[in-house]
Amino acid sequence: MNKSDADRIAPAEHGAPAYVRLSRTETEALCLKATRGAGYSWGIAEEAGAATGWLCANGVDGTDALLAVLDAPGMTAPEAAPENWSSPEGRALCPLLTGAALVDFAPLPGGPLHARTLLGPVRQPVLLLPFLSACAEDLGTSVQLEWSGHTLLIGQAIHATPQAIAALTGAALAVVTIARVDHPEPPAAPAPCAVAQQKTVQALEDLALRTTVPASDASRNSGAGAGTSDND
Amino acid sequence: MAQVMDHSSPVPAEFYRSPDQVMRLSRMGSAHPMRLSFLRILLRRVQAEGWQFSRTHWEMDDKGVGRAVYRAKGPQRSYSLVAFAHDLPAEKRSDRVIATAWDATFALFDGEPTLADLDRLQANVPLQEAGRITNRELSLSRANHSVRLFRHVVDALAEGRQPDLAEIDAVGYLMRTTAVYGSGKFGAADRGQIADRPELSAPFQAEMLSVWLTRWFTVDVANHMALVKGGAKAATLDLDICHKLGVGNSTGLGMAPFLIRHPLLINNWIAAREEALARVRALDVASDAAVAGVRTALADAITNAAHWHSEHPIQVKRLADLRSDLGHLKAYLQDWPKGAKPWNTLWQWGQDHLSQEGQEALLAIMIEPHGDLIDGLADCMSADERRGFRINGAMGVGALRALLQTHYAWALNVDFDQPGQVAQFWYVSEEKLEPRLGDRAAEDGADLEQPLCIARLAQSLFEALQGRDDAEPVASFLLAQPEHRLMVRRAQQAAIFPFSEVRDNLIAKDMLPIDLMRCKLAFFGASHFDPRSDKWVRISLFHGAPYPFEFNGGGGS
Repeated sequence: MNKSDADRIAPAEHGAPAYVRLSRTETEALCLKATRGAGYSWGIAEEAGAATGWLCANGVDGTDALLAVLDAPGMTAPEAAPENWSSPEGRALCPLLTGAALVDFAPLPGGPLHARTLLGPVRQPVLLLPFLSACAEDLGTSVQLEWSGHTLLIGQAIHATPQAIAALTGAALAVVTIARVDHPEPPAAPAPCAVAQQKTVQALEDLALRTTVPASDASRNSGAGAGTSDND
Repeated sequence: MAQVMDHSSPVPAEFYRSPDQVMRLSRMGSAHPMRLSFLRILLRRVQAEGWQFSRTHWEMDDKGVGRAVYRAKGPQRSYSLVAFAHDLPAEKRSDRVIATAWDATFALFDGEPTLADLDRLQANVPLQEAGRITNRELSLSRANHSVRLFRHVVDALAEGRQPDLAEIDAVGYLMRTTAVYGSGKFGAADRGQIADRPELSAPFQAEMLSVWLTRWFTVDVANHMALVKGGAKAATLDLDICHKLGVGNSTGLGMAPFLIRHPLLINNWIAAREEALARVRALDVASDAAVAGVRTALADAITNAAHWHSEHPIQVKRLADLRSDLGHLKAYLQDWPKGAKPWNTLWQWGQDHLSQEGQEALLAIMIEPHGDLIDGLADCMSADERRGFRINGAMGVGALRALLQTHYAWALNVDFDQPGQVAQFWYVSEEKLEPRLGDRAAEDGADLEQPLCIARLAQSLFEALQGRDDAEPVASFLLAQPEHRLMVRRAQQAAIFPFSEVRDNLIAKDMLPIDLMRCKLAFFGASHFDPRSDKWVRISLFHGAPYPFEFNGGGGS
């Protein structure tokens, strides 16, 4: 944790701290449940958890981007056409469904990384990065994402200027170009785990609560250990 | 898995048990602790590496309120149990996860804490789930007294005498933990941060170390309170009585879904154990030392079974079976099996003459004297779960269908139109965010069912695949039907990791969650499994084991 992070996470004089450092495990668990709570399938929720956890471990806070997707889940899946992934009606693609499909289609002949592929418009495109990392690992190469004059190289880590990462993280909608790059991934310094905004975490927790069942007297009384004394 | 099978002289297939035999709830619910259990792995390592243990901090008042630090010093790194003792009113003492206060709370610190660390932890650890810890901490836990035994021990010691052995045996621990959280929970260090450290690479080593040091703390607190009460005439607890005390543990439904949610991990645990059994069965001869080792292990098992109490009808029956089985085994072993492959002869005899409880006990007994042959398997029991996460989208639908027929026949055969096969559902309670089991016919919430009903999910996937072209790639199937993604992932994993699925219907009316718990707890090394209902259980950890300070070449606490 660097000094400025510590200052941000430290409890404010009045009220709750503005930022919180979740562990990767916590990020994954929270984002999985929130995604399910927003109505996605369990398998896509698992992808969302893993993706946000990967971003967190690579120093990028993806919780805001995920929350933006979950707050208005369009759930538009791409049509996987050669060299062009978009929705038939031109609607904005869901980055979770798109990312999962990128990984699934990557090993197929004519997959999205066999040629340069134009992809989008896709919502919260920063969420594609973990999936592109998985594609890169599968194909034994690196993947390049170009967008709005920025270039990001994705392998096991993210290789880009802080400005490019910040710009992508802040983008609500983008059309991007992805392509495989057949040269070895440069070494990357380990990134500190990302810090999330407390209010975002709270909003994700609220979504996660939608996966839970309120207690009733019956369920309380039939729970493990109910009705017994532990003063023995 | 590949590691496990990569043994210098491969064991013939005939000596292995199949997943269909091993991964059944009733057999998993008969599991026994054994050499490859996680606390045994920890104890072997600290002995082999000459770890040193000391109590480095002790601040405790006359009410038994205060804090203490216990340090474990290994060849490369140190770890410290930071313990906080509280004055808990009886009406607040609850082992349930809904409790908010405990007799003692703990964190395992990565290194040696400064006073500032202790103060930071003191502001958070006593709150447990409501506090925050950091990546300097590896676990968070709490424990409650056995009120009856703690009082008895303190009273006896205060009067200058040792406690009554019958009381010690009847309970078996001074404190029981009610939760031990690790792996990134509540801000703690992620597993990835520590997984490459040799001393923590096997599963649950930080948690086991924490509980083992907690056991030492429980004895120190009892001695402290006896001294407060008895003054100069107080005695300290004899070491041989200390050995009869483990750390109790009270576990509810929270633990049960773990085995389902971590298919690669459970595969590697079971695969290591099954490999150990197969290696022993395949041996051509039995050395005198190994035969003697088996007889000692059997005698220990008989003693253990005699001291193992439960009032749960299922466990009462299983205990009766076990005691009877161990008697038969002792009689059978009056004459060691003659001929080639004597270990396999012994195993086959067990298959024909023992209950499942006895068969699984025999497994633990047979592998006990074969440390040289099997202890290395401890290195194969952890799992990089991200490895199995990626779906193979290039697989054809026909291949996926065939894979389900091969590895999920047990699931495809279940008739889910029968109410008894869907009688229960797993859900998470809003109140405590903990897994629970509901009665589908009588309770609300089935629309929020957790995806632990694997048999049903597999059947549903199989039905969705009907009528699709064999050549269609899974990638395109999942693009059309993302709701099957979780099950496709599991099925592809199961094709590679044969012990990844519990091969029973986990929502059937007769499904007992305690079977899942027993399997996991046996891998921890727990003994004295005592179900208090179908849904929760008490056990003991480190019962009969040495204390950390005994590894210091005779030093005491």
